[in-house]
Amino acid sequence: MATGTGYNPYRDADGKFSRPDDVGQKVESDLDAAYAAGDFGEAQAIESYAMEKMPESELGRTLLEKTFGAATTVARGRKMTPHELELKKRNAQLALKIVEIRAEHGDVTFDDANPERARRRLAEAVEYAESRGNTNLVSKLSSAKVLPSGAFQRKSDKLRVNTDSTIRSYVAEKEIEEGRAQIQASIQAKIDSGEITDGKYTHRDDSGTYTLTISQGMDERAFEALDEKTKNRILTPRPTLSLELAREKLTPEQLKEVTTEQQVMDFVVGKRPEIEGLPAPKTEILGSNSEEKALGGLQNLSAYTQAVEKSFGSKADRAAKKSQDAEIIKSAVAERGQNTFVPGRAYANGALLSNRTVLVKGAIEDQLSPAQIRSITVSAPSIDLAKAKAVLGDDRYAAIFERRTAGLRVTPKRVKKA
Amino acid sequence: MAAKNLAESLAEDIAAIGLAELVAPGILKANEGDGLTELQQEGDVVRVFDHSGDAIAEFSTADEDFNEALLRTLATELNF
Repeated sequence: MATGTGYNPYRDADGKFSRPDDVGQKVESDLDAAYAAGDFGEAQAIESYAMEKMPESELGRTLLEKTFGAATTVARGRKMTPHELELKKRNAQLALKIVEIRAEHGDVTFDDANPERARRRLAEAVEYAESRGNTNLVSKLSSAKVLPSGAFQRKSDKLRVNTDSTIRSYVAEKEIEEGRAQIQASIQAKIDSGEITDGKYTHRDDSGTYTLTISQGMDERAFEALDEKTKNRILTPRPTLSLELAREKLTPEQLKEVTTEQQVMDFVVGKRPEIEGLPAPKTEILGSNSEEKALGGLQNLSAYTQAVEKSFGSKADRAAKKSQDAEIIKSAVAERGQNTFVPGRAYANGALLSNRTVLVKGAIEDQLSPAQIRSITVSAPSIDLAKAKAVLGDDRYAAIFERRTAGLRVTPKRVKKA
Repeated sequence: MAAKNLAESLAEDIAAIGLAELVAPGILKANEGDGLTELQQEGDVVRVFDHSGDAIAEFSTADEDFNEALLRTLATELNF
């Protein structure tokens, strides 16, 4: 049992860190022991731990319901219904195992398999990445395995994917975003010139609600434009966890306990497909005062959004298709656990899937001793705002770190379920 | 009925697992790139906004596939 004011099931009676086989059982037995010993302060600390850290466990839930009532319970200080708590629990479980779950559904049948052509596409993609000087992509592609075709059907649900059409949608979305960015830039220019003043502006029409909010934030481009010497003067080393050191210092079992897997998908587009039907964004903003100009910008956004929808379907439909394609492709390569190239039919085109391991900060804090945490911590430079103010002076600081920036939000009348 | 606690809590859990970074309540940043994805809750509906600020999907907490559908959308937007 822990000593002191806090309770931690990963600490033994001497305060040393040790990992129990079953944390839930350890918490319950510590609680029983605290009550048996009449140590009500310790019992309260254990109950607080169970409610805060293990709200989904039987003990945590029982205590929460006893303390806050059955209809509304809390997790990390937030009130939730028992049903919402159940959804939260399930979400965390699924998210932790997402790659494993994909692998279970990864059995596919290929259409038009052509391993020779697939290998050619991969070699072309490497050449293309080299020609662009993208060393990171070259490195990933060079070690990648390749699927025999980019068109396949998932056996479990008969859903099909065609990488060429996925790439076409990806390129179309990029071009749609470029048009929208032009509208956003035209609004930003009015904010920069002071013609649109601080506030929140809303335009509503049959297609939905368009909102402009102006907030202060960092101008990343202006920061990047600073010379290296100035940048270095406003950076301060801060401790950060290192996966490389974790791989070196922890046992394989410990590493597994404190990491999780992700699948990252990138597209290689050597031959850009032609996208037809893209509307031209209107960037001229009329109006005689701040509100009229803000609403004029939002009307431009509405007109563009509706024109895009006519040619390409609603954003929600496009997002749903994008999600479905990504899940099928990711599930087809999930069990491979390495870089995999999913070839397209056109020159150098394809999707590159890479597995990435990330450290789980919460698990590290819970399961490693302070000495172990120190052994996997390095210093990384990060921006120090106080230093930045001193180095840059008030005006330059405000121009870079407190830039008034346009935030646009679009909520269609009906958002279709993905 | 909780107004926004589930959405904020789901975002916290995604970040706690290391799948994205939590930059503000309900707002997640992809581990690679600058894309922000926001979860908002209105009653029993959780809505997802993409990096442009567009609402791209909404899920009712009453739906049987709430978790699967939400995670599929988040996985695509945050690329995990």
